Amino acid sequence: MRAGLVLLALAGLATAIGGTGPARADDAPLACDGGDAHRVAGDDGAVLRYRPLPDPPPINRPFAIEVLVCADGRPLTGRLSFDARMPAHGHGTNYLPAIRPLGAGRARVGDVLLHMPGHWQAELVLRAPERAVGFRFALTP
Amino acid sequence: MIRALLAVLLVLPVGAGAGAGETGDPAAIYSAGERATILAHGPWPPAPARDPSNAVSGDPAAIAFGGRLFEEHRLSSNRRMACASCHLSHRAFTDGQPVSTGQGPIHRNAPSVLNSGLMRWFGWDGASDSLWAASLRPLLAVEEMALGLAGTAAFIRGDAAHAADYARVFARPAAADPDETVAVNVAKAIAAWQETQVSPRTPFDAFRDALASGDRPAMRRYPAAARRGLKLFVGEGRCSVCHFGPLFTSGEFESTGLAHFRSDGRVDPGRHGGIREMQASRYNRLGPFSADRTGPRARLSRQVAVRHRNWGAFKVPSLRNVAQTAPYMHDGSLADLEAVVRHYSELDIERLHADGERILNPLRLDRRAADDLLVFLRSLSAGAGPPSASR
Repeated sequence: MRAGLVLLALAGLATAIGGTGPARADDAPLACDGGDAHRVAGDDGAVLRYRPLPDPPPINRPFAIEVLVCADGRPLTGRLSFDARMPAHGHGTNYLPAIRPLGAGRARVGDVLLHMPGHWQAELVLRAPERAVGFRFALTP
Repeated sequence: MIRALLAVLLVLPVGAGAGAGETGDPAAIYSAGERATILAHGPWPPAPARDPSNAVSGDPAAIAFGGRLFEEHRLSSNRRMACASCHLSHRAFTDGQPVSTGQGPIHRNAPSVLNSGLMRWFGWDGASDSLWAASLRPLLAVEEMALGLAGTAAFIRGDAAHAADYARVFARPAAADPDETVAVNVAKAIAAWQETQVSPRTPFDAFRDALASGDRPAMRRYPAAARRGLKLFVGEGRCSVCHFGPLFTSGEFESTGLAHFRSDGRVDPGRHGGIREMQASRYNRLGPFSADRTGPRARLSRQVAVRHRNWGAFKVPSLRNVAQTAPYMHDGSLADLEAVVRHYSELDIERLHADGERILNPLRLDRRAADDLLVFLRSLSAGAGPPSASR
């Protein structure tokens, strides 16, 4: 099931573009209560913290994104899906991301490859037992 | 006319009419974004890259052995076809034919092997994920060299010089290895040699480096028409969306409005078929002959996705040495660079796949803009000299 299709079915999809704060590869693990990772607000108070490694992401080379979804200040766990698309071009990536849990709600989205320069829109969905939350954020290599 | 323009670029490095008496900043026509894009097309040459899936990549003895095998006509069932039969060094390792002539029907244009050590996928459909797998493919293909695993192994074992080379490179006699191992090792030696074939620096590279250093006199040596063509390439024309980076290619696959049918009337599935073929092959980076099944390149082979948009998509070719690799496109259907520029100027968007690249639109170039683009494209070639060895 493609993440994009999942996203379309979600009501109240977070549409925040971009995020705040630069990130460094040697940062401490992502946390709900701060740090300098990017932050995207979602629906019902959910928040995505994410950190491309490296930041900004490279063009046409694999990279990873560390992610953490929080609700009420605590990590929200569930099934993650990720996709990235170029809205102006009408296509997504050519490679499926490899998502690996890191513990404490954190996950690593690996093998992301943005094969063209330009504006990419990342889409991340977390489906927890009681809710699903989606986030969109810009990835511009 | 065309040859005259080429001569301006290749014979007169100072570029007659390139701004004699020109003052001011030769790069003033570029926006900040365009400058950044231009700089991202270099520097050249890049550092040599070794293939972790090939244990003899970068090994001098393997490179020498591979170079001899590349020219070896007896590596074919009719003993008349070498790798070099379709990859001619004086044609930037292409053969000048729309589609190559083998022992059976071949439906695709022979791609250059220059800079192939820097590529991610091999073949117009990317059916090989390594250069050694791509080198093995014609040895086995019945329409190409058609020697097969057993035939390749028997030939190496039976030729004293090659058998000695094999034993030196792989530290055991070919007689001690199974046929399949010998054939794969032959392909790995050929790949090791191909990795060393790097195209020389070009007039564009000199301009790009001058732009990086702010050397205006050096920038002026690059013809004004090439500078305008470059602006079109990285700007309004958006050619650099797919043809970007030092190799002038993303290394990925696009549908560009060419005929969907091969000469035998069958549809060429392009990348869609290429991914499936790679996944099914024993000779991919994930298979038993790969020396690295877990590294970044192997992960891409595992993670590549088969999508509907792959239908009819073909590899975005590198534009380095493009003036020497006519005819063009996967089917060789465009005879010269003028035809290529005309194709994108008058692009038939009805022939693009519905879920393909949306930014492809007819460029509608006037005569001067088309000529500028051609002058720029020819500046990506270094002339008729031999390729440089990277090691």
